[in-house]
Amino acid sequence: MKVIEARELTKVYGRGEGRVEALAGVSLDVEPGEWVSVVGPSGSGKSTLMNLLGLLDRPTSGNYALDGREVSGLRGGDLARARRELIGFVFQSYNLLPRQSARKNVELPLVYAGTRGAERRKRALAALEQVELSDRAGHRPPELSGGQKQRVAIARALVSRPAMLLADEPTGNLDTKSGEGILDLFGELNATGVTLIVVTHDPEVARRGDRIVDIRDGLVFADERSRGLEVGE
Amino acid sequence: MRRTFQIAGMGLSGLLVNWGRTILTMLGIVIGVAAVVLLASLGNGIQKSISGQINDLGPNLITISPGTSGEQDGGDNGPFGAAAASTLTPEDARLVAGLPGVAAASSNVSTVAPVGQRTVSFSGVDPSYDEVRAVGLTAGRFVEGRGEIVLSQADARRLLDSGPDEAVGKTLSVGTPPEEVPERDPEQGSAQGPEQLPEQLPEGVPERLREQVSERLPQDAAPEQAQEPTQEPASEPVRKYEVVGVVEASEVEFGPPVPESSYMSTADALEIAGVETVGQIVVQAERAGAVDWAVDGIGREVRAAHDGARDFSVITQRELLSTFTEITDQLKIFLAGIAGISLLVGGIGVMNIMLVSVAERTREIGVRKALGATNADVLFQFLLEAVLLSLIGGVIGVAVGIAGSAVLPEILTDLPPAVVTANEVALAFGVSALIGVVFGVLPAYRSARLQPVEALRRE
Ligand SMILES: Nc1ncnc2c1ncn2[C@@H]1O[C@H](COP(=O)(O)OP(=O)(O)OP(=O)(O)O)[C@@H](O)[C@H]1O
Ligand SMILES: [Mg+2]
Repeated sequence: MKVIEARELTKVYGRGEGRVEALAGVSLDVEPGEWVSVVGPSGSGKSTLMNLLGLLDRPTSGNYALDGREVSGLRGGDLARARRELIGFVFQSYNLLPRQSARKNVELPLVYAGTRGAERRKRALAALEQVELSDRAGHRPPELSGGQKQRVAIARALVSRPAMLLADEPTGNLDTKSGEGILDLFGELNATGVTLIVVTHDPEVARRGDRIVDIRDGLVFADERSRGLEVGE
Repeated sequence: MRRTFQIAGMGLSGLLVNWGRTILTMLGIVIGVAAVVLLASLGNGIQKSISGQINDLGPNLITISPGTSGEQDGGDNGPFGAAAASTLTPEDARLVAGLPGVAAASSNVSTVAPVGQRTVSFSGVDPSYDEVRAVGLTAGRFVEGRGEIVLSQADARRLLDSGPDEAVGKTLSVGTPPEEVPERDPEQGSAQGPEQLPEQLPEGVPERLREQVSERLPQDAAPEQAQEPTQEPASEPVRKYEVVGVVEASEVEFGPPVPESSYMSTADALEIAGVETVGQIVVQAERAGAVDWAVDGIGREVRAAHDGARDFSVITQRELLSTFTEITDQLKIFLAGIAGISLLVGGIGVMNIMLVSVAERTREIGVRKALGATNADVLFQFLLEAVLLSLIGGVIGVAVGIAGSAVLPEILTDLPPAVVTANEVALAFGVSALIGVVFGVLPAYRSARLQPVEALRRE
């Protein structure tokens, strides 16, 4: 069973003069444990696609199944549950709550899952340990470096053990060294079976994936195995 | 259920973690509530003080004033109408006192008389005045005849430099001495003083006191004469008066001045003023139900005594009260307006701070929704926060408002004590809490309805 089965997803912003067709019909299948890199020029629709896949926005049309379950029609409580149980989303700009400690930030998805305090704390600390930030659990985001913030965000995305991790330019705000660290972390996670979809501008980063999906003008321009390519050359 | 509990706990810890924002928001509510409570309470106090003073006059009081006014010619002059030259006499007062339905009646003559170097206002009244107006005395008794005076506490302090109890029994010279007196030398004066006026001093005044008083007389009285050209020295012989009582300090705190008066007998006051008519006759009806009856009798009999001339007016306290009620009613509307405006301003303040503090949290709402919060979860958290802030802020605001109502009249002594009423406290609290909750939740509701990406895009 595929983790993602997206069919003819379209997204149109605005209407009349300001109408923009950000996605013009994207179909995408992702197998469990795959690491998919999404590349393409600026404004081609990568973020729009990620937001649809992460259930952060609604497609204008098209169908989308997650873990074999149709999710494009979900609303309210079911939609919220799908977001917290099936998806971990990592943003370019972290999106941590600035006044809460790293641990409290990581606990947030568990709060909405109704997990009790003690259990929540245990799992949050475990997730922080996984991203090697146990010693910063009590620090608040402004006291952390960019790389550390992104690690906290990854821990938060992992804490409810979702089927897949979606990351929109996770290293975009980081220097090369911090970015390398994040990618190594992704490698480890992927090795344990976590499905990854990572948007990037950097070809080096893209090559870390099993597969590179190239988006142009709201359409899939190319979709090829990267390792196979490397091996072939 | 468990989720609700977890979210509530997280919301509360959020209030503590974001203590700066929490305090600022609460401060807005505190100020709004406190301002409304304070203004409303001060307004109540002013109103109560005014109507209290009017009611203190008593419902059975009837006032006869010289000149026509009031009921007869349509009330152009109102109850305080300009009086023509007085036509009322002490005989009228005696006549009225004997009428059916009348409990007591007294003349009232206002006069100013020099006492030593000072000028003192006296009300010349009959002994029955005490029955009509219930003059409260702290010491001694009321004036019962000629040669007696009752001093206000202020005058007792001014003239005798003594408290109420020590003042009783002392003797004062009232009025300006004849021309020759200042020219006499002090030794002569002291010898002649007592001789000159022995019959005006009541029996039992110690010789020592008489001498003391008359010793001061020539020197003290001389400048007064020059300063008071309106008074005729010839008709104002110096007389010695015994202080028989001291009026209780007035408890009036605010409002139209009800000056504490000093009292003497009608006859003495008429003599000092050099007139034969009295300024007013005050009448106490036997009971409230007898007022109209007494008024009819007064109108008829006094008119007859005046050879049919209706040259006086009769005003009941009820009429006076209704005039004041008009004033206090207007005051009430005015104060209600002020309280209403402060409620509005306070409410807008609360609304504003809530709108701002929630609007800048749109991004936070986006994050929470992206992580799996439902709209209801978000609303619940914001509702909880708004209710808590409004309740705590409201309670502190009420406390501050009540404390301010207690303290402010102490500092600004012209203000009467504020009267805090449960109604206004509840209104101030209720309106602020409602506004706080509505405007704490409404923008959160708007943000929660956005798709997470849209909420995250907001700055
Ligand atoms: N909220 C929006 N309203 C209107 N147009 C939008 C909105 N979001 C994106 N677009 C438009 O949709 C198109 C795709 O945008 P998107 O953000 O998906 O591009 P992207 O591939 O992520 O670009 P980048 O690499 O610069 O992040 C762009 O033309 C953009 O202007
Ligand atoms: Mg993008």
